[in-house]
Order: sequence, then C-alpha cells, then structure tokens
Amino acid sequence: MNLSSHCLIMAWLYAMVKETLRVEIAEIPIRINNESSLSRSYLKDRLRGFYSLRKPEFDFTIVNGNISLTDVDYEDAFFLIDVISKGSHFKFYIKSRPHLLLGTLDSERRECRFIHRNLHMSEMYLMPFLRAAFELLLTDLGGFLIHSCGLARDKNSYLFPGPSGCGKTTISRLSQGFRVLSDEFICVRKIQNQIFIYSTPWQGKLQRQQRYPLRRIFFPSRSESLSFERLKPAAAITEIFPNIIYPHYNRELSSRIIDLLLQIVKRIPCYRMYFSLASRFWERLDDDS
Amino acid sequence: MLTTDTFIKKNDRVPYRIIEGEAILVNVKSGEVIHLNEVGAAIWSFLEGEKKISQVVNHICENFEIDEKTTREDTLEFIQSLLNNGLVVCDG
Repeated sequence: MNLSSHCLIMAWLYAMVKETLRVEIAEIPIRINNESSLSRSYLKDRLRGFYSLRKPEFDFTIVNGNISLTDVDYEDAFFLIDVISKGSHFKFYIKSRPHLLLGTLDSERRECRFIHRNLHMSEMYLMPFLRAAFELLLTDLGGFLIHSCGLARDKNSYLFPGPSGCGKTTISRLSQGFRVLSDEFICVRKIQNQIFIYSTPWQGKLQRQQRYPLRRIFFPSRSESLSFERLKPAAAITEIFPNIIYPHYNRELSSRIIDLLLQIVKRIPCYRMYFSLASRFWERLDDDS
Repeated sequence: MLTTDTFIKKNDRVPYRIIEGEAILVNVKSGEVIHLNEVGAAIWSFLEGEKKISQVVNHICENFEIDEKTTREDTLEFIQSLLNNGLVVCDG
C-alpha cells in the first residue's frame, strides 16, 4: 500500500467516526461534532426533530480524552454538575461513577467541548451532558430550562411549573384542544422584549422547533374546586425559581436568572391554580381574574 | 446568642433584588429563594454596612406602626433565621 492510498483509507475511516449534526434548539443553531468513539446513531435519533439548515452559531464537540480525577472534588453522586465561570467562559464537570465528563463552554468564542474519560462510556450520557451545556448557554443568552408542563393553543402558550407529583402530567393529559410541548422540560427565552417557550429534545412531547409566545404562568395545586389566585411578582419568582434547572450555587448565574425572572413576571401574569381533576380548568386559562 | 447589641451585616455574596417593596434573596448554598415581605425587605435594605440590631429595631419602629417590644422580638427572630441560612454575618 502506498502512502496516498493509506491517507485515503484514513480519511474514509475518519469520516466513519466523525459525525456532524446541525440542530436548532430554542432558536439556537448548534453544530454537534462527534469526534469521539461514541456511537453516532444515538444522538441522531434523539435530536431528529431538531435538525436544522440554519448556519450554526455554536460548536459543540465531543472528543475522547484524559481527565484527571483530581480535577473534581466531589464524592460519588449521580450527575453532579459543578460549574466554574469566568465571564463568558464556563468549565463544568459531570461526575457519575464510573464515568467522568468534562465540559468547557466559551460563549464568546461560541464553542463547547466535551471530553469523556471512560472509553466504555455509554452514549446515553451524552444527552444529559448536552443538556448541561445547553442550560449554561441558554442562561448566558437570556433564557433557562424549567421543570414545567407547557401547553400551546393558537398563538399563545401557558406554563405550569412544579416539582414531580404536582400535576404536570395530569394537566398535559386532560387539557383538550392544546398542543403539549412537554410535561417535564420547557425552554424559556426572552427575545426582543418578548417571552417565548419551546419544546426541547429532553422529554419534549412536541419535537419541533417552534416558538410560542408565553401568555400566562400557572402554579398547579390540587384542590376540591377550581380557583385562580394572582400572585405578586416576588411571590411568583419564589414559585418559579426552584423549578429552573441550572447550578444554583453559582452566584453569577443566580443573579442573571433572577434578573430575567423580574422581567418575565412584569410582563406575564402568574397565578396559583387550585384545580380538581373534574374541573375542566383548561377552559379558563384565558379568563380575566 | 443574638442581642440588640449584636452587630450584623448582609452577606455580600447573596444575590438579591427588591421588587415592589418586597425582596427576593437567593441562598446559593441550598438553591432556595427566600421571599421577604415589606418589613423583612425594609430590614434587609437597612443592613447596608454594619448595623447594631437595636438600630434595626428603631428603624422599623419609625417606619411601620408596630410597637417596640413586638418589633424587637420579631427582628431578633428574623435576623437569627437569616443568620442560620448564611444570609447575614454577625460580629459578636
């Protein structure tokens, strides 16, 4: 075999391994380059509804590499994420024994890099890892990911944030005449003074890239009968905040999230919704109260 | 043990915002948000720099119609809970 044919074979082998996906999540066009030994079909399947032809604005690259365990101070924990931020540069770790992943995100240079240490790592870990990077990117761009049910009808959308068991899935199943964006994770963004919500590849029911203007936020609470209580801005922020997914112990990110919430609760009416299963609450989401 | 002679100040590392007279504080250790009503927010806003708790009590008595005894008891209890959550620091 001569040198040139050897190079051709190498290039072909490289193309087999290398994978590039262009996706768009919450209007953020991202190119995902998989230069690692991880399977390429997994990400393709999981991101299918989010393929995009838009010019990528961010590069996420996954590579094999060596990470020293001494970089991470934490004891064993499932998906513990630590974030070190310096301006627009974030460094984050996900430690989930026996796997260890390191990510860096430079939002100014628009680059995110994932390094995974364990060559036998399951590709299942890629989606939560992508989510961790996306959460940071989103926070940096004026948005957040939230534990919430999201419903849309016509041109309006409604959020129902809350912890597991508060009724998010029940609400999504009962509400007739609405599109369900997700009963678990919703992406929220402020773009040009308007608040939009989006479905995500993380437990999104509506796997589609579409923005929905947010009209109201409801905090579900089970009750004998149906009633709505309008919340003041500070009370609404107190209700929303615990459902936002980001590393809370990062002071800089906390401040950004609070500032964004201030802008949201000034524009979007927030209510506590006391509801029973028989109350047909979805017919009253647009009521004046 | 807190007394009215104890000096306290805000923990500078606590992100907070004042909204319509109420306050939102983030406990970055626990990831919780603490919502302070108008009186709580007035106390929080007053804690710029180091303040003696008796000064805080006087400030609240001057601005709200609450008697001195109730204000003193409630302020001590409130500041103790802020202290327990690491939101304020005290100097002896």
